[in-house]
Amino acid sequence: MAVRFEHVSKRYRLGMGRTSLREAVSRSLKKVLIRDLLSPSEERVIWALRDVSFELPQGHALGLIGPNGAGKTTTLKLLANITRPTSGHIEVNGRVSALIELGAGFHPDLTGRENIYLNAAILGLSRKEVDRLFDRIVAFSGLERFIDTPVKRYSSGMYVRLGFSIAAHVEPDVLLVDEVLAVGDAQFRQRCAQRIEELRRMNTTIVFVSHNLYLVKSVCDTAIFLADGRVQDRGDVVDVINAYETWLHQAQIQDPLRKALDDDDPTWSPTLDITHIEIRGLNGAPADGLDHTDATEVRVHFRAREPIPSPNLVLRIIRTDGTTCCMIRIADYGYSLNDLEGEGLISLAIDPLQLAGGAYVLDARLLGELDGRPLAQRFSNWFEVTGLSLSHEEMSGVFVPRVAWARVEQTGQRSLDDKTCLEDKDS
Amino acid sequence: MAANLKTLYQYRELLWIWILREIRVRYKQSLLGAAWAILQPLSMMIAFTLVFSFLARVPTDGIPYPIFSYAAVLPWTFFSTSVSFGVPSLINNLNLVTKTYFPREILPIGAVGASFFDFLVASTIFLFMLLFYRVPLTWAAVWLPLILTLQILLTFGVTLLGSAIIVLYRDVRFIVPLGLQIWLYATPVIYPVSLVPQGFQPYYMLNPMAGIIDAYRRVILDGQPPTWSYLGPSAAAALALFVIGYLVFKRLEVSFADII
Repeated sequence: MAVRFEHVSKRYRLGMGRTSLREAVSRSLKKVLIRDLLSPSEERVIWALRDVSFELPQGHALGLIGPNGAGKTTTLKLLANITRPTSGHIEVNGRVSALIELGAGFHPDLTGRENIYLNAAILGLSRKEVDRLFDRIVAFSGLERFIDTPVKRYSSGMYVRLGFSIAAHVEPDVLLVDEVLAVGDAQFRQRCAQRIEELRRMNTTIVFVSHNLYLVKSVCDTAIFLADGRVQDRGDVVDVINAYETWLHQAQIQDPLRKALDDDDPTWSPTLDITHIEIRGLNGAPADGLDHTDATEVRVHFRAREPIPSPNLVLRIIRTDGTTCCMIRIADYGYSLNDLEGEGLISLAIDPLQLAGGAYVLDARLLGELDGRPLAQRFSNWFEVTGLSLSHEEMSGVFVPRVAWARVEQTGQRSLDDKTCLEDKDS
Repeated sequence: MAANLKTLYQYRELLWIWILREIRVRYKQSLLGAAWAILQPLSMMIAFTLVFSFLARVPTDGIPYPIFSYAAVLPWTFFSTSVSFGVPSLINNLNLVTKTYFPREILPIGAVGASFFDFLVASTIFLFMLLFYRVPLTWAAVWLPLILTLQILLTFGVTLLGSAIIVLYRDVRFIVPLGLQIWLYATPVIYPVSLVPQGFQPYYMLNPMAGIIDAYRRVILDGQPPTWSYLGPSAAAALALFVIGYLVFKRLEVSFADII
């Protein structure tokens, strides 16, 4: 086993930054005198990890996924020996390199060259190894011209590139990677992913933390889904990611719902309900298999126990991260629902759907005609849309426009910028 | 302790690179650069000479005051810069402590190493002074490595202890400059040990730096072996401080990343 994690728990004390001696003295005095009765908040603790166990054989790649504060980084820090567990036992065999922050330990006054030697030594490379790898590290970063410039003159992108180039050339037995690939441009990210793939072929054991589930899927064989310091699910990477996504959807649907109900509680109409929301492709595709090119129909079913005069229907399509991708108000289109009474449905056709790949939820609200106060609200079930590219939804944007490509020759043409300049001069 | 030293040995390259980094960083973007390593003890010596030789006339057992004081100012400066750079070394490199792993003592020990470089640079002036004042070096100089080793152990002890405690209590930040100031007066740097009343000397010698500074003067300026009744207790104290400092440091090291 390259990595063994046995019943590990880690507790942090909140507000434990005992920064001055006076505070510490008064604290212990207080303890003696009033036995903490007046300061229960000082002893607040947080369990970053609770009884977590796993094993990882040499050459395997494990993904750690979960929401913020789930204990992913804590797990890496424990594996890297940066911090120790409160209880439990950890065993890591072989040379460990932890990429928790790129360029940790760079000194702004030192040049790129000097920082390469320092950072590589921190990651466990010997001087001889750095001498041997130096040219390759510089070439990978693409910073040849700036290598003797102090890194304080670097842009943040250059800084990160140098940091990763060093990290990428470390050849450890166990590599711990924490979300460091989220930075840099797409091309650089691509190279980073390639390098990780190379290390995998070299039988490196990898523990990989990322919010980019697509990347996790491509790097790891197995995954652990952590939430609130506990293992929620483990096993094959695809299954675990599915479990996490389901959990995410549920957590996020509950959150805005609760907020909406809390905010507007007294105004909900007792006589009007949105009973059901249907989403389907007009070509017959089910809600969990829509394509961005599909013509899509949304059906909002309602029940009114007494007549409701001309309410306004508002639909919002919300992405997993809470972003509202679009808001559609029936009044904006000049339609009116007239009076709602009894049971019925309102149909809306969107053609084509144009949403980028990912999971979405629809928030439907009926608002009062005059005052706009919310009368009824319902979330749809989550529906999946297949986008144009396979990349993760947050990176590919919100929508897929209908585009037309053409190649236009530019000979003798004046660009828009030139024209604006000329006009500026005239005025 | 042995296991810790073994791990440290495995990280010797990082220690070496860290020392080089500390030296570079200390004088980067400064006009005079490493000349400061000389200017600091030199100007201290000149100030002491003006005040305690021209104005106050401190007896020096017949040795010219400039070389008398420089022989002590030189190792004292090594000690005090080590402590003032070494003690905050962990909290000044917070990012390294919370984001990377290596034996943490590399940071304070590296600061001592960089100060040792300054010490070597400033020593060249001392060689010129020896020639100028025609002080012959005798066989007694063979004791220098021992005295230096004791001083380094003592410095490690104080620095490790201070750098570990400052992680818990930032008060140490204020204690260091004040403490060093007082410690300087409690050490025979500007005056000879012979000025200390005989009956008070046992207490005076509880300060391990006192025996060490006096030993430097004995072996270089007087050409005599160290006064063992002075250096012996200093040696024991230096060794004890080193062991205590290192053990305390390693004990607290576990929690550095959590509470820094």
